[in-house]
Amino acid sequence: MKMNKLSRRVRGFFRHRQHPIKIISYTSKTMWLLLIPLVKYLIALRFDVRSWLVTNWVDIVAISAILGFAFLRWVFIYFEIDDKSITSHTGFFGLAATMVKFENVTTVSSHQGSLQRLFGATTLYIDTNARSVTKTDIQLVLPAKRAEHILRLITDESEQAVKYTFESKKRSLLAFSLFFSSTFSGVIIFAGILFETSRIVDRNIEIRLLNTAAGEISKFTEKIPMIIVYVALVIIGGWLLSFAANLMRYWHFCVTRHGGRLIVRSGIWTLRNDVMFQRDINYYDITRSLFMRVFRMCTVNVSCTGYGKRRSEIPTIAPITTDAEVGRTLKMLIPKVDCPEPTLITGKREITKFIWIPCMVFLCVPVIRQVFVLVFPRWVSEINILSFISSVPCVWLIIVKFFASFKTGIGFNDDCCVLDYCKMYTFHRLVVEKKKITRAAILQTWFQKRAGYCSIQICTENEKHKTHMVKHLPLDAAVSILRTNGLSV
Amino acid sequence: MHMYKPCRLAQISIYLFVTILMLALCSACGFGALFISVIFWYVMLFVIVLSFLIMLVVIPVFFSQSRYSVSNNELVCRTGIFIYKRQYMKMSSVKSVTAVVTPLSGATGLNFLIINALGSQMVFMFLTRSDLNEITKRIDRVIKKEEFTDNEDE
Repeated sequence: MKMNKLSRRVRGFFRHRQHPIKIISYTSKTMWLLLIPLVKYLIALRFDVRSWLVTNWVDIVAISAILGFAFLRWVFIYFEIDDKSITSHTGFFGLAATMVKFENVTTVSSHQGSLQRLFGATTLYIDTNARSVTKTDIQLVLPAKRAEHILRLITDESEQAVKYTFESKKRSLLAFSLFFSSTFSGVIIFAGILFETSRIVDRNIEIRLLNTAAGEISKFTEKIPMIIVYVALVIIGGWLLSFAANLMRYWHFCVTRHGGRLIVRSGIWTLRNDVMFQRDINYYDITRSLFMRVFRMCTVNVSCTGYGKRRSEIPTIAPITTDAEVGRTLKMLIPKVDCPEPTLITGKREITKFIWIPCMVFLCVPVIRQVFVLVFPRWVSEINILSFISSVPCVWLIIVKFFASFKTGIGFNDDCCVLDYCKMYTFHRLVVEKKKITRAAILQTWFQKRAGYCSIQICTENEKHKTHMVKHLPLDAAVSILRTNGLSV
Repeated sequence: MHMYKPCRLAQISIYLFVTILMLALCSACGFGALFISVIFWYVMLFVIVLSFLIMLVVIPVFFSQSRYSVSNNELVCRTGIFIYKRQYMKMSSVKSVTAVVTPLSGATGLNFLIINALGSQMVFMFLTRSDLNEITKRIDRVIKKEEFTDNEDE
């Protein structure tokens, strides 16, 4: 009888705690720097535990303290669930309690990394529109079954409704990873790896490796200076890394509409399962680069608090779709939002307004080159190559803005608003419900004021402060279209 | 519809602040020019030109352009120096209001009102303390009234 009571208590204790694997993440990251030499010593002493304890007792005490502290944190952090809410007790001694009512949840996600899969654990993220919490409202590492149970409770999967599923083709996902691989973030990681390599292997080995790679490339491009080859190596490596990461993240991408919910599943390395509620989708954004526009392809992203907000994630619901299919896809996934056609659009007359700034930037390149040649006369060939490389994005921007001058506009219907605009190199078509517009603004520079033009800035309900700017519209028409739609700027 | 303007006292305070800053920087530059390098004379010239530009153009333009209006349904903010901006926010979108009252703000007029909505913000700058209180109360009343009607519906 006593045993039964005890086992019930133990089970109750574990039911309200996170998966024990979480203890490892509560330890200090530098613990491994202490642990590895300790194990090394133990092996060197041929498992003579006594002399090992005598020589390394300070390190052992430190590690025990770190582990003990992590264990205590794990014990104190717990959660409670009832039919309508979940409460998580976090902070030191579990003193900070966060209660989230299921009706306020905007997104609930379960992400299972490959290491977590080995131990049967899953990270559960619960997000709401409460702006007082900048990160995820509740984040728990739970046994997979428990996480699934909570996910079912929040999303009320008992609801009977027809399921509509959109699955991305594998070659579309390849194209998506190709277009959306961020060279910059990849370069940072790749450069980090290169930098850290010297710590793991010998510095000389790292230099020899790089020299070999650069030497092989220079055989084909003998006239290119070594420094440019190094920069190219880092950029290409970074891009490839980002490409591979994107591919792994969005492989097996599939989105299902079930009643009022959108369920998104994707990933190979980390299995992702995000559930968001249609009522909480702030807007959808059809995004294209110039290449995608030429090939009549696009990506559909959504803004919903909690979805796609973690590092390197893209909040997409259709990674790649064609212009012909996008309407059908959206009708299937978000049937309530009806996209109007833009009624106020820019055209031929506005071309100069769109391209003059990129043209000025392009003209600055030779001037800056000349200055650098005067200051560093020994680096002329490197400066020439760099100035050529930097003029390429400027020319590309001029071309993009030229196209943007025909594809910028705004339009309304009874419930929704559409904004067509171009931000840097990306074209956006943003569709938002009128009731979700929180701020509208008319902006005029001195030049625009003289010409009678303006830019419209729209903010929607969102997790972050994000503005959408439609540039170079005639002032009178812009004011009138906003006023007739209840935005009396 | 109630109209508000930035307070004149704040304009004087900013003039004073810029003048004091300019004098301090000029004395530092003068010291540098006498004991370190002649280049500091040019830095001093730049500081003086910049300060006069701020005092004669930027501040007067900002204070003459800025207007705030509050009604039961909407908030409108007109402001800008190099880019003229007319912002509009529905009262129903307002989620919270942050009033920033600096020490001695009765004399300096350095009071700010930050109006927060989901995904956007509007800032009313350099209000008198009475204007600040009035706007806060007005917004508070509108929000409370809405909550009240919501509860009634339930």
